Order: sequence, then structure tokens, then C-alpha cells
Amino acid sequence: MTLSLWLLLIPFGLVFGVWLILSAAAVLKMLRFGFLSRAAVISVFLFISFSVATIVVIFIFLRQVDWSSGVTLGSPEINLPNVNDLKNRLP
Amino acid sequence: MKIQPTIPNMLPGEKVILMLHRHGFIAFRFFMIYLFFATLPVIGVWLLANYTTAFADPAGFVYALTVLLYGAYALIWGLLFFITWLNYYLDIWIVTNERIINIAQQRLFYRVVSEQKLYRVQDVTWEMKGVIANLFRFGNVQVQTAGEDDKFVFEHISQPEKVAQTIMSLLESIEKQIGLDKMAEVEGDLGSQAESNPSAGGTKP
Repeated sequence: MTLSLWLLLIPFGLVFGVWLILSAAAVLKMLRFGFLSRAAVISVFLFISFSVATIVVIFIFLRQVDWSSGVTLGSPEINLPNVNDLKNRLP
Repeated sequence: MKIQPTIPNMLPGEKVILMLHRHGFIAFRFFMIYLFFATLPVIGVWLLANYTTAFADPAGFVYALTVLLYGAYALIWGLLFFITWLNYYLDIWIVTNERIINIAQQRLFYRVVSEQKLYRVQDVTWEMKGVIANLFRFGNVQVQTAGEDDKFVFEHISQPEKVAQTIMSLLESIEKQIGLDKMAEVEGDLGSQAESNPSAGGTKP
């Protein structure tokens, strides 16, 4: 069975979606309840910077992948010639 | 000039005396744990690059899977680190000249805010337990209030003896102030009761 490589992006997209929601909630919570102190603002800035840098690096690395190619799972299929109708005679 | 931070439902004339977080050692401890988990993928990349052919074909399945897994790991690591920091930083005890506020940030979506008037405080106890706590001078302060079974516990705060001393001195000044007012209030109540219902109490002639 051959699977296309782009199918790998579906679970990653789901994880990324959940990550995005939780990140937004965490940032909003820090800004709302962190008394807008210097530590709160700096930590939010560092988190957003780290996240953006990570996403950019992931994107750069994933650009090299040929998403149209596929991967064969299990043993590859072998097409033997049907000599003396052996394929139909096997149990 | 020290800026007065804004606190929930700030009363007129209220001043923040103490704003306490857990000791920095607690933050350092979780920072070291996250640092350990940050080094794991670095070791993994080194092993994959030197002992496998995962990065040999940049268009292949193994390469794509590795990049996606590492990307997800990095994003989740960063988010968990930030949430742990948030839980540490937003877990605050505030002592004002009128009340004590306990803000417990236990999880990302779980926050409890409770407060108690200072004049209700009956007993303040502090403790420093363990070698590390004594070395870095952090510990717990327990504040027992009147008529309440539960008590406020300031956990792992820096210099608990000074915090307890500050609360006690605040309490003493409030007791002096409130004590006189309460006496006047009680005397006034008794006087008005006696006027409205002379036969209710007191001795018969």
C-alpha cells in the first residue's frame, strides 16, 4: 500500500491547531492577569519570538520535501508471471 | 518612585504592602527540568545524523517525518514551558493595608482568587523546612483567620519570617484602630437597645 507524503501533514496540522489555541489562551491570560509587569510582557515577547522562529525553521526544512512522492507500507507487491495458471491453482 | 500595582477590586485608600511569588529556586528547578528536555532532541539529531541515513534524502519519508516530529516537539516544549512559567508567575499572594489576597493559578484554565480582611487574622505562623529551604531562605507562612477552618498558606515564599513580621505589625496597627471603633460601636448598640426596650435587660427596680 502506498501512502502519499502529504498525509503526514494532517496530524501535524491538528497538533498545530491545538497548539495555536492554547498559545493564544496562554498569552491572553498572561497579559490580562500579569499586571502588565515587565516580566509578563518580556516573557510573552520571548514566547512569541521562539514560536515564530520555530515555525519558520520548520517551514524552511519542510520546503525541501517532495510532497507528491509516496511511501510503500508493508512488503512491496511482486508481479510474477502466471506460469501454467499457478496463481489460480494455489490454495 | 515605586509604582503601585493594580489588584482585583482595589478599595479606595488601599495600598499594596507585599506582592509575593514563590521563591526563585522553585522557578530555577522547573527551568532545569525543561533544559533537560531541550537537550534530548539535540542528542537525537546528532545520533540520527551520524548513525542513520535519515537526513541523506531531504525529499524522503523519514526526513519529512523527522522534521514534523521535531517541529511538534519544539512547539509543545515551548508552550509547556510558557504555561509552567505562567502558573508560577500568576500564583501571587498580595498583602495590602486592609486585606490579604490569595491568587492561585493552578492550571491554564483554573484560577482561584480568595481574600480575607486583615482584621480577621488571628494567628500567623512561618516555617522553613529542609536544607535547601534554609540555605536559600524560603518557606511557608500560614495565616489563620477567625471563624474559618481553612487558612491562607503562602507557599515557598522568600524570607517568610519578614513576611510574618510585616503581617503581624499590620495587624497590630489595625487592631489599635479597629479596637477603638468597635468599642464605640458596641457601646452605641447597647445604649440604643436599652432606650428602645428598657425591660429587656438590666435589673428590675
